[in-house]
Order: sequence, then structure tokens, then C-alpha cells
Amino acid sequence: MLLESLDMTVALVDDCAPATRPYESDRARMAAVYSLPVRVPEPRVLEIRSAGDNSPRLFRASDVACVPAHGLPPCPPADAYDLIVMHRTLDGLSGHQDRGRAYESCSSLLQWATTLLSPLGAVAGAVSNRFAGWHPGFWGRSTSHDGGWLAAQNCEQLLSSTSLTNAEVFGVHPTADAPLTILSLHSRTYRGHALRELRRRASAFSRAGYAARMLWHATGYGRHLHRDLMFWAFRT
Amino acid sequence: MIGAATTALTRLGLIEAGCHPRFSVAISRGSTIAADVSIDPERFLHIKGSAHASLRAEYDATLRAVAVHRSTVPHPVAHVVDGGWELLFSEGRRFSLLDAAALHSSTVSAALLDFLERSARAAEPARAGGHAEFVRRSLQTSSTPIPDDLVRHWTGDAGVRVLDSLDAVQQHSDFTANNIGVTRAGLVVFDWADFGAVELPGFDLATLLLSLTGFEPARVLRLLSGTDPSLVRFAESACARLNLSYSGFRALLPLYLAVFLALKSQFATGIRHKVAAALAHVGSARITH
Repeated sequence: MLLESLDMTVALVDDCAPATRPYESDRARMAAVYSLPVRVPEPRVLEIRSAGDNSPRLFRASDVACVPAHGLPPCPPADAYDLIVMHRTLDGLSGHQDRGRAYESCSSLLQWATTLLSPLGAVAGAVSNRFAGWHPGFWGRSTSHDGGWLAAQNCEQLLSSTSLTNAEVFGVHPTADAPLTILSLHSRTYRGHALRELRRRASAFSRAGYAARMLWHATGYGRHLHRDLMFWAFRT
Repeated sequence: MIGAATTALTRLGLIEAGCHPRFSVAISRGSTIAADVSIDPERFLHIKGSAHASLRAEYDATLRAVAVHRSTVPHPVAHVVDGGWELLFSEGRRFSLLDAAALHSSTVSAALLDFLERSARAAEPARAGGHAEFVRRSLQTSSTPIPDDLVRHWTGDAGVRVLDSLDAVQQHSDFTANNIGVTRAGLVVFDWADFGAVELPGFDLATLLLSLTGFEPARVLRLLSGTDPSLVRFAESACARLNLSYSGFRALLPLYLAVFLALKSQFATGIRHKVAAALAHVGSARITH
């Protein structure tokens, strides 16, 4: 396999045919999603965390760097990484700062990460969507990651402020902590991808719910209102 | 995977070098990753990727299926091994999922009957003891326990006699509603990995009907007893096209449910428990020959 998640051993404890279900656990699927842009068989991985994020590493052999309250993380052990993961790291940079300052912190962090990438290496991450609260399905529903302050366009702008290329932003379903689907938010292809995905999951909805979602995606509103966003971009 | 897929698309001449195709990706709770990639505004490809298992056998099975079922099968484009990934590229199709209500559509039910009949046309006499051996192996090695009395019946003399009387039919073997799409041109059937894995006649019909009940025990029981009017009419028509007696088919349904459960060891725990519950529920209502 390309990258091994710590949690894949948990998935292997499943009662039947363990080896055939490597993506059973949420964390295994998180690791798999972040592995998608990787282009080498045994990548060196750096996870950049918010201060105070003590969750287990996503990847068995990754290095971890924590963002301090002010400034950039200390230099990690390796010179270059094939994959740098920022799972909700940019969300955490908004605390105690005004929006402009938080934006600058994100940009600095991404630029710092870029300097650590090997050629063709990728930065991948997830953030809460600033506009998720506008989705009728989320009204009145609390989530563990309320208070997103970045939208898809912000992610694109942040990535383009670095020397990274081929940036792509996705909507994640249902959440970045338990991903099942990522949909490219590129305006020319989103509608087709979203409608196909909706048809695939049609049996999960009532007829009225299905019709409402069809309308939602067909009109293009759905593109802006995913709960979480994922992004990646590459060093040339 | 995305890098390997992009490289493969370039090598296959489907995109220009340096092109940046747009992907959407679905990760099931199983072992594969599925992606759709837009080639141009009108056309997309479906990619199945695995870093854990070979997809070569599935590619070959799909090619065999195309020979029988033609346009019902999304045309396989390529099988690629690169960068630790096995990738299966096939033609993308727009479709709506099949649901129980679709059987009320004469167009859809006719397309389903044609599909089932196409498989049945290639029926051959079964190898002596072939079905019995397959059933015994499936039931006894199932990772989800199969009720003892059902195993005893179908591995005993009476059950083996019934199995020996059946032809062998190469079928899809996972012909459930979520693998069937309805398009303007007819049906499209996905996931041919198990094509030919089960040769028991009527198995595809059984999995179709059982999946349309949602494997809900009460509905499965109604299907078994022939009291679900929404499914009975279709089942009778299908049996006629398959040269099976309807009563004989109903008698085989519990066995087919058990074989399906035994084959689907890689299903998510939830659905396995659901199918197992349905099987336990119908156990006491077994129909005699």
C-alpha cells in the first residue's frame, strides 16, 4: 500500500475478512484521502498540527511539527517531504487574531511548508468551510469544528500566494474527519460530478430529499456549501 | 493514485501531456478507491484503484462480460499498474439507481428480463456434483455463520439431488440494485468482479429481488412466501424466461441468500449483519421441494 495509517491496524481487527477492508475506519480513510496526490511509493510525510492537537499520527512513519502560538514551527528532522498534511491546521490559525492577520499566518505557514517539499511533493489539508452554515441541512446543528473562516476561494488564493502549482480544492462528504467522497469544486466539472455522486447515494434519501438535493446541485449552490473543504497543491 | 491515474491517462492518449484533469473521489469502507475523471465536458471515465489487491481478474472478467452483455457493461478501457497502484479504467455512464418502484416501469422490467435471459441462454449442463461441491464449500467456509439446518439440508441427499438437477449458468453474481443503473438507452450494470463466480441458475434474479427488499426480514419472508405482489409478478415472468419453476426458485431462495452472504465476506459489517438477520428470519420458513 502507498501509505500506512496508524488506524489501519484498528481496521484489521474487524470481525470478518480483515485484510480486505483497509478503509473501514475513519482515520484510515483520512490517510487514504491525503495520500491521493502522492506520486512516490514510499513517501516521507510531515504532519503540521495546530498547537494542542494531540491526536494520533495519521501515518505510521510521519514526522509531526506543531505550529506555536506565534511564528512558524521548528525545523522538522528531514530536509524534504513528499507529502505535507495540514488537517484542520489552518482553522486553528484564526484564534485570537483578526482575519487579515490570520490570513497572513496561513500564507506564511504554507510558504514555509513549500520550502520543505521535495520535487513533485504535495501539500494537502482540510479546513471547515466558512459558508457551511448557509446550508439548510446544517442549520441548528452543532459540529465539532464550528467557526470555519475560510471558503474555497480563500483556499485557492492562499495556495496561489505560494509557488505551488496545480492547486485543487474539493468539497468533502460527509466531513474531513470521516471522508467518503471528495468532489472537485472546479466550476466546469462540479455539477456533473455532484449529480453522479448524488445518484449513487440516492437510496439514502427520501424522494423529496433527493429532489431537493438534485435542485441544489443543478443550480450550483451546493458547490459553495460543503461542510468541510480539502485542498492540495504541488511543488513543480 | 491521482498522479498514477494522470500519467496513465496521458499514456493512453486520453488527455494531453501536462493537462490537469479534474477528479472526484469516493472511498468506500472496503478496499478500493473509486474516482470519476472528466476527459472533456461530455465524457468522463470511471477509475477503480487499489493499493491492496489485484484488479487484473476483474478486468478480465469484465471483458468476458462484454462479450455476453455488450452495451450493458461499461466498456473497460485499461488496466494499469503503476506506483504501487492497480487502476481499472472504464467508460463513465450517466445513470439513475434502480429501486423497487422501477419494476413498475415496463421498460425497466423488460430490460431486466432481457438481461437475465441473456445469461440463461448460455446455460450448460452442470458438471456432475459441481453445484453441490460449490454450495458445500461456500456454506462451510463462510466467515459469517450460516444456520446449521440450512447447511445440513443443502449438503444432504435431498438438497444435493435438487442441485444436481440444475444447469450451470454464468452470471454477474453480485446483481444487486446498487450495481444496476437505469439510463435512457436501457440498463447499465457495474462491478463485474464476480462474473461467473456463481453458476446456480436464478442466482442473479435472487440477489436482485432480495436487494430490492433491502434485506428487510419481513419483506424477504413475503418474497419467499410469494405474497409480495410488487415482486411476485416480476419474479414469475423472470422464472419463465429462465426456464425455472417459480416454486422451485422460491425453494432455492434461502440457499441463494446464504451463498450471497458467504461470498460477500468483504461487505461492511452493517450489511453483513442485515443479510445474516434476514437469513436467520427465513430459516424457520423454509419451503420444501
